[in-house]
Amino acid sequence: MNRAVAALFRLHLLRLRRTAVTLVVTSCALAALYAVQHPVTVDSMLPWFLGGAGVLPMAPALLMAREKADGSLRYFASLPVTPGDHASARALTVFLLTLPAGAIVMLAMRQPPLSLPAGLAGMAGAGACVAMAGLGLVLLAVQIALPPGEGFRYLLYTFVAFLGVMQVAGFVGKLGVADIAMRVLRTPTGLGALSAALWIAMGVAIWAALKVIGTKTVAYRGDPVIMP
Amino acid sequence: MPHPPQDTAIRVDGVVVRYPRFTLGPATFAVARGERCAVVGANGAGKSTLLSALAGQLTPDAGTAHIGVLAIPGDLVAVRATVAYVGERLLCCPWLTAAQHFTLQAHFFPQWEARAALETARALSLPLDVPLGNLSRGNSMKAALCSAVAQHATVLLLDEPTAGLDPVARAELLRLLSTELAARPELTILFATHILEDLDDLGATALVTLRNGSLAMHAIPSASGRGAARELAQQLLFASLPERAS
Repeated sequence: MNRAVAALFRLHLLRLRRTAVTLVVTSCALAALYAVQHPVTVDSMLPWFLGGAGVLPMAPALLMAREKADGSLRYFASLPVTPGDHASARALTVFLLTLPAGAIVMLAMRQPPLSLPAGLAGMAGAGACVAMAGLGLVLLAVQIALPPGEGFRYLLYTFVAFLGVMQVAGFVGKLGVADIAMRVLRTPTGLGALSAALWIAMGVAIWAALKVIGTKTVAYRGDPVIMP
Repeated sequence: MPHPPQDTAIRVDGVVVRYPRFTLGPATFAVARGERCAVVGANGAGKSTLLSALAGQLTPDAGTAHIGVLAIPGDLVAVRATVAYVGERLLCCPWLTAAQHFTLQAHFFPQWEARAALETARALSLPLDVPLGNLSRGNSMKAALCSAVAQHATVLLLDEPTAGLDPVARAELLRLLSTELAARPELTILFATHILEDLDDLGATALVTLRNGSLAMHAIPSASGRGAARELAQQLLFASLPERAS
């Protein structure tokens, strides 16, 4: 890691610490509220902590509007730093923020009824880290590429479109297509193909997101609109 | 594309920057090493656009420029490390203090001299423990100049460095620049200003006039003494005005 990437990485983490603390405290408070009225077991509490930790990798995307508004992103764009270095620093930040959720997923995999061996649980945790980092980086790329406020509008459209697709899928399922698909997927070949397709899609999404983050950061010319 | 000769600090060859309602250029001129070149023109004439392009902060739509042997747009990252640019506002993370900002800059600029930044800040009475976003316009400009000094750049681009400053802050800034220029005669300065007194105070040796994006360069005779640069700028700026009916 070169000096510029290390400095940007530290700077991004420094910027995120308040948001991260807020998210952790909020999820702990929600978990405590739940624990008052329900029996406290590892099984019952894990989803609460997973929910809180799962939001952490999205924090950089949530903060992007602020970075644009206060001029931080314009400052990053003015630095003698390559697009690749900008993307690396952002990727490191997001991957680091996925670690708590990855650890929780690993812990959950070790619990009954799954009770996976440590190696498999570790792989599940690592897979969860990559998936969450991919989502966090894609959201960040959308937020950098679009004007402030526009990003969330398009995410909302995407969510609505996703719901529509799910409804159509449900309708198609009634025609028996889903049953055939499930029979294919339950075979080792089907499962392997599905897994490979998901990993390839995730790799492409992460690569594209990093490309957008790098090029759009150095090209950003927006003026700050507020000062702290 | 041939490289500029060694004694040329800035060479601009047909640079064009297009906006929806404004076009700068094609601009062609050269500034010798160690020269102090002033850029004057009306509001919206393209002064800030020209300086931003030379600082590697925006990519020209046509033409090329060279800072030493580094080309724009080919070597944008290296140009940003070589040129110290003081714009209308300090580019920074506004939640960092000046001391934190100076420490951070060392990671991005290979020639960075942290001690020079801190010494200059103390000389200018710049508060080091206040977030940069909370600084006044004058103090913000002081922080930008401290950064420019510490960057140890070969070319210094100043975009209206004294605009909006009170007389004391302006005198302090000019004193700092004079000290820097005396210590580093090889430093090339290109500065845009509306305040014609700045031309004399910064010892302008050449003048670039901009009118609606079109550019012309004029030499200031070295033997003409103090006030010559200002008089020449006045003549050139006011010559284009239509005569008022008496």
